[in-house]
Amino acid sequence: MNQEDGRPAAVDTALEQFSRVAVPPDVELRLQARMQEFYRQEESPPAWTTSHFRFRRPVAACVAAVLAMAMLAGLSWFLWPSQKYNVLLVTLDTTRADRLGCYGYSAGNTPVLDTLAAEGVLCERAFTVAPITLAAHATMFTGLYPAESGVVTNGRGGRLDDRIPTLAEVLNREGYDTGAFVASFVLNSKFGLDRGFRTYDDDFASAEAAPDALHRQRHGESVVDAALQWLGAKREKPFFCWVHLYDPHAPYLPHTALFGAKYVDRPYDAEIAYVDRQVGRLVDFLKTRGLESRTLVAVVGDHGEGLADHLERGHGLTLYHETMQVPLIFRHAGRLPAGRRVAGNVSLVDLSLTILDLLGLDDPRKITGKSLKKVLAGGEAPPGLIYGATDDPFLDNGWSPLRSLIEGQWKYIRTTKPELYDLAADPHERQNLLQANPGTARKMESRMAEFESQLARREAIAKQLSASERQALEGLGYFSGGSKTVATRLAPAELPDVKDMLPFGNAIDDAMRLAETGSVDEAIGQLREVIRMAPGHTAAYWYLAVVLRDASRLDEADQALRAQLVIEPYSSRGHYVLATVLMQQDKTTDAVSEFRKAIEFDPDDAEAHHILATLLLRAGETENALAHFNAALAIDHQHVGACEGRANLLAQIGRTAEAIADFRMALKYAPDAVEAHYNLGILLAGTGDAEEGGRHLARAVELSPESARLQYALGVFLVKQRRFDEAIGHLAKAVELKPGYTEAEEKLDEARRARAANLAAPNR
Amino acid sequence: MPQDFSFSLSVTGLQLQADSSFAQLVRPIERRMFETVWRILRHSQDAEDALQIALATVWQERVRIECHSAPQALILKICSDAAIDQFRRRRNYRDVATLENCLPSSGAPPLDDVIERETLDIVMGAITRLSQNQATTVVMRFFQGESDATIAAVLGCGAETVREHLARGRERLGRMLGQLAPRG
Repeated sequence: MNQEDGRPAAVDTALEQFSRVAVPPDVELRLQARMQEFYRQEESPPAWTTSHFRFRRPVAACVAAVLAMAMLAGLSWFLWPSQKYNVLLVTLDTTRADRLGCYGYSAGNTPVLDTLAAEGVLCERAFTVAPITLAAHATMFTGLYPAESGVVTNGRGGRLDDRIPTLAEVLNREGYDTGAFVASFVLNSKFGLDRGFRTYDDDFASAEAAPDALHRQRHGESVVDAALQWLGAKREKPFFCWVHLYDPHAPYLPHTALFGAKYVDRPYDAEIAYVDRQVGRLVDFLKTRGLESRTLVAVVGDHGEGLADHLERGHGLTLYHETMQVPLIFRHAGRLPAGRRVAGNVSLVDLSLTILDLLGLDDPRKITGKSLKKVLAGGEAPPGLIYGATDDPFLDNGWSPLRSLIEGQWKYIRTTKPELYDLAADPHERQNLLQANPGTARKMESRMAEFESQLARREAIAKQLSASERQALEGLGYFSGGSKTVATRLAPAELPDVKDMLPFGNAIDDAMRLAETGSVDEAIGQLREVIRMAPGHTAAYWYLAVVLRDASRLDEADQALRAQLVIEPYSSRGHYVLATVLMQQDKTTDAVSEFRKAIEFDPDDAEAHHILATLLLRAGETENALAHFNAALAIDHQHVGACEGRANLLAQIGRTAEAIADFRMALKYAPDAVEAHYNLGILLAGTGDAEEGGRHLARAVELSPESARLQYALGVFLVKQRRFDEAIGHLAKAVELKPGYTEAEEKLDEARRARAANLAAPNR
Repeated sequence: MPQDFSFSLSVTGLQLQADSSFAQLVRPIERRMFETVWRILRHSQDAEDALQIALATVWQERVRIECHSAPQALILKICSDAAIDQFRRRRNYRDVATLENCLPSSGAPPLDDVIERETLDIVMGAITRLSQNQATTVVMRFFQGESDATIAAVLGCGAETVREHLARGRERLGRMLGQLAPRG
């Protein structure tokens, strides 16, 4: 900018004049009138016609006409060819490819998936980009690697960057009706994958109780029920339906009601067989509606499951084939060859563009993934690099993160103690050839570094980590040059290697199972042994503290947590559990302090916000309490406890309408919450809605008939309603349940007197 | 102990009526939408037309807008785009757009007002000759008072790029509006 000739200053002065231009009142009235027309008309947009657009100019009228026609025809549907294909995308969580019949598993029970593969194209060697649900799904929808999309792990406040377009957005703009039905809170809309979906069903009201929000899930049957209901609706547009099935994720159920005792010893296989049946319901729907030839079906696993093949029982901590190789099947009757099997390596990063290409649509996005259309149609998979990554070992335990690269026959894993496998000779990755082939390892490391340098990194990756985690990673060299991007260099040698630490992790799992089955002392002993063998294993201290706390050995729990926090001072979960221990010791001030630290290190811990808010409310710090309730609900809008807590607070400070709204929300997600029914009933009765208020009070009594307080409340309400007979019944019950309940006794007397007076009154 | 229930609270909760998603998006920024189209056009009927087009676009794009990180700023950008387009189209029928039409109310305007309006038209004409991103950046910054970060969110670029658009836009405006520069 040229500062010397004075032009910029003059330009600024000229531009600043605009900000002082006010809308004249008569113009504002005219604009306001135009606005109101829109508000009125938007209830029935298809009825809009150009008559509602009072343009003066021919050009503007043309624009209006185009818009109106677009709306009339289902919002621009008329602009595209009539032949558009539906898309049914089914993602199978935690599903190993080698546990499906079509991938050669003889003990499996997957007839639906096997048939889909026989009728379509199966990719024999499809690999996920990360053994983590949210990261893998983000890649599937964006065509970007986790390092590019910024979504590298589950939860932790991470959210797909709003600037990154998704497959659903592209299809939405192409005129598709888009609906998603997800089974796990890990894919809750708060994490950003809802973008582009007109319907995003992540309602976990029917979900079973889970130890933490991230593990809230619903069964496949419930997800498919919702999807089928949506699919069955009449529509003029093509649909894009994404169904996510989470059942194969631990804990595994043997589904004895469906399969008898067949899978009691192999419950993981039972879960796979169960999801196969659920996929079958979707496939049957297409068949009965005659939509098979008009619908591209894609079935894909987000990642596999360790099942202890390389010590890891679950997933997320290793990058071996059992967690990385996933099923990938496409079927489109008449448009894709039947029974084709693609032998080459393919990656889930290619899924998004492949779907668009198969639909004949251009992808306006700049993404990393490639289209597999030609490969699926019969071409050979071009030789390429298959890249995988996981940061969970570090984020969860402080162990070395992992990166993997497959090129040709070689697979290289970067960690503290790198690994090299010859997949041609050793497909199950049993023999680490790093020592025998140092030259190949160096070449693979170099290829990996070159590949990573080409990934377009985004700041979101750093947003996903708490400040302290980021600091810790920066300290270890995982962030480069002060910028918020993950560096690509070798892991520091001082970080523990997952291989060395997994036996201890498994020992902790075993100890926790012992604790769950009541063998608490044995569990504590085992955890102490892990700490003795691996003093840096912070998770062992934490689990030990949890077991000790639950056994009411609070001083020992306190001690274990403080030991953990010496090693890992930024551990949010450490501070959180310490706070709960302090609460149980009635050290409220200290507990508040620890909850604040937990939130400092993980600002997105809804439960910590909720409990802290409750403590602050008790201490009379209403404003602070409200702020933390708000924070909890901003993070997890389905958090019933926070919803009820905030409702109670709002009721206390006279914000009745908001309190009522919150109680209603709490009851949406917890329909049998007695306190919510009771409080909502009281508030509604107080605001004049006696009918609904009475219903909620009656429901509270129905749910908890042995509560004298509830019987009394309903009795008082019924006296006010002059329903004396019913009131007397509930008040008498209250007195019976709680002898000496003076208020109930007095109200009972009042009700009896009122009834007598009522009966004595002349009948007009 | 059970509380003694009060049944005398005022009736407020029953009057809650949720706005539709479209109204929820638009209603809070109605006034800013009016200001945006008016500041660019300063012509009541043109402003109405531009607002109409913007509203139709917002309705059509409402799902995307709801998902956007800066939905209000995005709506204002849609308004400014519609108004700039309208301003460009105005050249085609400039002959019928009399000064009187450009005024909100009847009565002869003071001379200073006329001069100011003409100046604003000249500046606005120059803005419409900027690249789309430069024009949007200049309007969002000077007409709407948005921050770099918000403009970046709307344009889908980084704040640094926004600063670059702004610098280049002002530089080009400076060249085009040389006659506005102080002399001597």
